[in-house]
Amino acid sequence: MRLDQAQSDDTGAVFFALADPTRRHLIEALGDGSSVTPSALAAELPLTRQALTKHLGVLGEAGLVTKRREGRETRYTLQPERLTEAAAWIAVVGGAWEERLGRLEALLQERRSGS
Amino acid sequence: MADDSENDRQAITRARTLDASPAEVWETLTDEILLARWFATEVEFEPREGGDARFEFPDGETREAEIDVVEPGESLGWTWRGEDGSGETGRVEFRLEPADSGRTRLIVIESRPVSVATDAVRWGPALTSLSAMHSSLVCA
Repeated sequence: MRLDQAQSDDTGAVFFALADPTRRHLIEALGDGSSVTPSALAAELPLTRQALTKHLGVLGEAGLVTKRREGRETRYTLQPERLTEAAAWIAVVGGAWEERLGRLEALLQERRSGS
Repeated sequence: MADDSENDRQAITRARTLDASPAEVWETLTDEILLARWFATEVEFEPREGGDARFEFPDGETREAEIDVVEPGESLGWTWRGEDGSGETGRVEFRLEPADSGRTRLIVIESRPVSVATDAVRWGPALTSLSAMHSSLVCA
């Protein structure tokens, strides 16, 4: 069983998006799940409107935010599922070896007490 | 091959001190019946340089490797075979060091060439359970 290329690219896009501190701030600002306009975000963060739009674009490509037109405004909403997948990736990669080494420890102990 | 090309590789290192002698730990690393109790569920393992290894993991995935470092009581390493038969993917290396009170420091180094480092899929067996989980997340 393998990740297909598209899924693996998605996970890569999430980590790329998270690599930038400004974008992590943006995610925090969007963290309560409400939909926010760029003007509201610009008021909260030391960013030009242009920079903000660029960063929101990267977050959008990674599937971390969705945008929706509402009249003359565009509103952005955080998609936390993507973060959950990235967190699962980290947990599993770290956890598989932890589990394995735990089993090895138990096996060695069993062999000691058995002999 | 591990040492002279380490600059071109990305590695993850884990270490654990085990309450057993290096000889006891070595046995659990090289005996296929013992390997099947902690590393994978079914194991074929020929502990010699150039020997073949075959592991079946709990999710049913099978991976093959070529054993390329066998220094009894000191180090053991293998290189995963690519599923499509193309060149090298990742490596696993175990190093054993005597620790105090007759214990053993076991160091596990997983590495892969930087050229394939961007391909998260090829990161050894840890990722096979990942891909199982990822699929279940995606399907959920």
